[in-house]
Amino acid sequence: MNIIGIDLGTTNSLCAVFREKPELIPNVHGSFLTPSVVAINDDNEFLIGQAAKEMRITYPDKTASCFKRLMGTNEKLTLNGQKFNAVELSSLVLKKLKDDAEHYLREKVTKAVITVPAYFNELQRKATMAAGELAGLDVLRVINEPTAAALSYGFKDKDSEKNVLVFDLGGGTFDVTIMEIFESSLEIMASAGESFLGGEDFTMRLASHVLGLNSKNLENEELKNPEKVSRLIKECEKAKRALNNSESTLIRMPDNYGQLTTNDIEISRGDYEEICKDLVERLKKPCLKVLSDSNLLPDEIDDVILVGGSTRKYLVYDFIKEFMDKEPLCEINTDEVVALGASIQAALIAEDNAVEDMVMTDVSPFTLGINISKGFNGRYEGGYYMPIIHRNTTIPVSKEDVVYTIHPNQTTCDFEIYQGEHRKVENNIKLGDLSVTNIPKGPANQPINVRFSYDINGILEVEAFVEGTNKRFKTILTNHVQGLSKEEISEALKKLEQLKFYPRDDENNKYLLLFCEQLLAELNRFLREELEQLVDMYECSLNTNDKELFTISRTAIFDFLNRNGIEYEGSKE
Amino acid sequence: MSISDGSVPWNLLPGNPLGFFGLNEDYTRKDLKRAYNKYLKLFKPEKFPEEFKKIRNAYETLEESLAYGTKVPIPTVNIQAPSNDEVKVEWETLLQNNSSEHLTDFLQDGNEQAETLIPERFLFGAFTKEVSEGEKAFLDSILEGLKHFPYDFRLNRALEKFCKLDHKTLNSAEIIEILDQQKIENFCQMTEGLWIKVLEREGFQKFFILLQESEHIKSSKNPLELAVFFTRICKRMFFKLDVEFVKNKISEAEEYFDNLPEGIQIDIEFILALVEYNTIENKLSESKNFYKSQLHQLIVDWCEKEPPEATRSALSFLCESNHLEALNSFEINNEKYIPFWRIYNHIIAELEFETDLKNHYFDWGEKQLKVRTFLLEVEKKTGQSWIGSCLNFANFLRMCYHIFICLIPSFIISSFDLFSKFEDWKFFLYCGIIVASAIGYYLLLMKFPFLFLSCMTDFIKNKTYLKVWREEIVDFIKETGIPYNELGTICANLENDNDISFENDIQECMEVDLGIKIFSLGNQFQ
Repeated sequence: MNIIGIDLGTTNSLCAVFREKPELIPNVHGSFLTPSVVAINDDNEFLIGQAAKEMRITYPDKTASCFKRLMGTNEKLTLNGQKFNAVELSSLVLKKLKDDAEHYLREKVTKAVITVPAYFNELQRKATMAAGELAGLDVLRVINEPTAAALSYGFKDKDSEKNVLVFDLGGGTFDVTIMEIFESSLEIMASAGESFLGGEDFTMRLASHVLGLNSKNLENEELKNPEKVSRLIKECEKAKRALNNSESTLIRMPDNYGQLTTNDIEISRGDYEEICKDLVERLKKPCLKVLSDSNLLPDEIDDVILVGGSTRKYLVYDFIKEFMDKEPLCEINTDEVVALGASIQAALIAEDNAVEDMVMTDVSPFTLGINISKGFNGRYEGGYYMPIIHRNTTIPVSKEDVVYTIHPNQTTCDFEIYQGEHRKVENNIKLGDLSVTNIPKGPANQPINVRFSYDINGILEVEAFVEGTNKRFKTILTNHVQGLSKEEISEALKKLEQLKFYPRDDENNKYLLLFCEQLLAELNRFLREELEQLVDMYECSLNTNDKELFTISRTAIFDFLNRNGIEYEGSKE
Repeated sequence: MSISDGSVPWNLLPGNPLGFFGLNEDYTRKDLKRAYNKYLKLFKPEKFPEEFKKIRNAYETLEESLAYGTKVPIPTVNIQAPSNDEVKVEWETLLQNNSSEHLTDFLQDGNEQAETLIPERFLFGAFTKEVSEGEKAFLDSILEGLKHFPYDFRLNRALEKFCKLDHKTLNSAEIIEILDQQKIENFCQMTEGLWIKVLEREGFQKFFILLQESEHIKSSKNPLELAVFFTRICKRMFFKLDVEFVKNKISEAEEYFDNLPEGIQIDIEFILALVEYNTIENKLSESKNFYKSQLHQLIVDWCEKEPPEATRSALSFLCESNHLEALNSFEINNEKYIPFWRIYNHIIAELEFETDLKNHYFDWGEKQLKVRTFLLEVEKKTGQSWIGSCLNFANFLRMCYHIFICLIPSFIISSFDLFSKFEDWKFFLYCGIIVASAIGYYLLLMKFPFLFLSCMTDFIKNKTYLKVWREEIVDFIKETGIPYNELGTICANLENDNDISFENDIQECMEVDLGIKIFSLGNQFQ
């Protein structure tokens, strides 16, 4: 049975499988990218992927996107009056990918490796696993996206000896990782990143700039005229791409109902650079951090690999080129590399022959520690953070440290376990508690040994014991998803079971319909009238199940699209 | 590849990472990486997490030393585990080439080479496997060699290890012979561990005789040290061995104690040792009643001088060993009052804390009762009995309160018949009792805020009361220094029930000497 690798992205998700070599699994539309968008139509049926993405433009209130950014929080999105949290929405996307994979592989798929941004914290990772569980997938491993990217690169080039920097700027997250390849063993040396920086930010920046020119505020407009904003965002996305190839481009301003007007705004590269200056600046910090964490200088890096759709931006490309003083590589499609890496990880787990001699070691992306009190002049103040496993330590790892009691005859000691980098625990994320009792009485400064074991699946085991007593106190931190206990998972499962999904076979048809509907707004009057006719005919054929009419109208639409040079991403069969 | 693969020298970790990776001292990063990779492929982190951790640790040690240009803390000679033969040869060459004087000089020179020749190292090979008949000669030669080393902790450890070996030549007589040739300071301290090992192997009697004949013991000017030394050794035995055996040993040991040299000046160390001894002995034979009288006086004298914290262990030992009369005779005046309460708390805490551990020896329920009775007596003597009575008062108040509550329904019932049975004497009686108990209750509480507090923790859960009394409580703490663990418990209860933090107040108290210890038991506040 195959284990699939899933790249669950902010904007797009992909799915890959390892069969002698990693290969991507196409979705029902024949494309590898499935947009991470969930929509609900008037019949309360769920649409996921491309079709939903098209709906986002026409019916923004019925679609949800970018929910990956809400992973690990309890924030809920409202879809046509129903509330869903990020885990549930992600599970819908995962389910979709799973269906695609089952269709493609012609066998049941139950096991998966899912990628997450390296800077996802424990809660977010667990939320991702929970989403997998809801989608009926046994999530064997959650690996970091840059690790996966490095892995797929390393798989191609495994016999070389070099240090590689993987620069991953996706739709919503930014990660940098340094990896050392040596005789087909891949050692992740350090990774750093930012969880709220990605291509979407550039688009939003552009959109709010455009609105700002009309003295409007993006947030206000979004509430007042959501159709307008979603249309504008789409236009900005286009403009963003266009700027990669030309010095300046036009953004067509939509009116309040989402219809495009002739009111064009010109954006030049210079403007764009000015608008996104601080975003580019924010790329610098994680790069410096990984270099210092891995103890390397920029010129000791042999290759720079670009991952993620946003690295195609000339701004980002130029930045990294300048920063590393090297021409970055993008041999593998930047969108696909993570999913391919995930499938290689799946093969490593399944002990596939093709990866037999490959070893990969990963690092813990964040620091783990406990709270302690520090004494100043005899007075103790609590709330300080004592790191035990430092970030970018190769895992699995066990680290031991000694803490001391501060009171005479102290018999108990409560440890709180935290994740984070700040020196005060209040700014870090609490993961759990451990209480040590029965400390033999005596003066202050009795040593207590605290041992952290962090395993490859991100499960943290904390153990404490007092020298001389046989008692060991242990806690294992595995399930710390906020608001997602076992009961809640089964509840969510029930809820999801009741949802209706748009029939898979019709999805392609529905997508074409939605695609055309949103296209109408972009066309001039004459073309629009022509297409409208065709679409009406097409819709009619779908509703009445008239096969003859269906074939005719569909061919006519494709013919129309071809004639006008409009690119259609979906399958044409 | 299996984990037990013989080619992986696990035994070299963590001490000798270079040896583990098969590298020499001037290794490069590439060499290291290659060696590391070799193991990594065998022990993938997914499948062998524990092995991986060890390998990784060793690797990181070496990598760090490369990065920071420091030398790895490993033996200068890159040793593999020496086989017995190697050790034998090395040892014999050493003995042949160097006379014993040479050897000593050689070792004292601070010679780097000498570091590698510590006795342990020679024994290392011997310990790696069972010693067979044929190798006895070899062991003897090692023993012979050991005699030439200056006595230090290393030789001591070597001897200890030797004792663990079932090597008959090294009996206590042998050891004493070796030690007698050396000049040893702090003989008792140094060799205690060694003797305990010997004791496990040999009879008590024989051992004692031999030990007493030792030059060091004979020449010792400090018989007290010896007494403690012997007691300790015995004590160890008792805890380690089963009861039957201990009984035998005790009778042997008692003889020794009975014949303790006259005029030994005993200090508290010795007392503690004796109390410990007696504690065990009490339980086991229950007949002996020796040293009690002088001990009693000693402790009392000693406690007068020493700070209360230091006396606590002595006192709690006394409690344990039924020496309550010794406690009773404390001359406690008002100045000593507060320290005394601290002791009390220590004792109680000790008793409660170690209940599980010591159930084996004592009946703790009874013990606690005894301590309490004793303390109440002390209160009478000192004339300050408020805390002792507080429990009674609290109970009394509780009773009042309950009466009050119980009477309410009857009051209501009576009021229904108010008009028909107005003349009913019961009604007036009820009213009278209610009014009286309410007034009494109120007065009592006004007078004893602390009592109010302690009652309140149990059954009144109302914030407003607390806020009113809060200052009173704090003042009260400052003035009287009530037993701090009691206070800690009370405050913790109050905090739990009412979302009120006493932390600031308690910190304020910390500045007052009395309050200091409130914190130490109030772990709840951390």
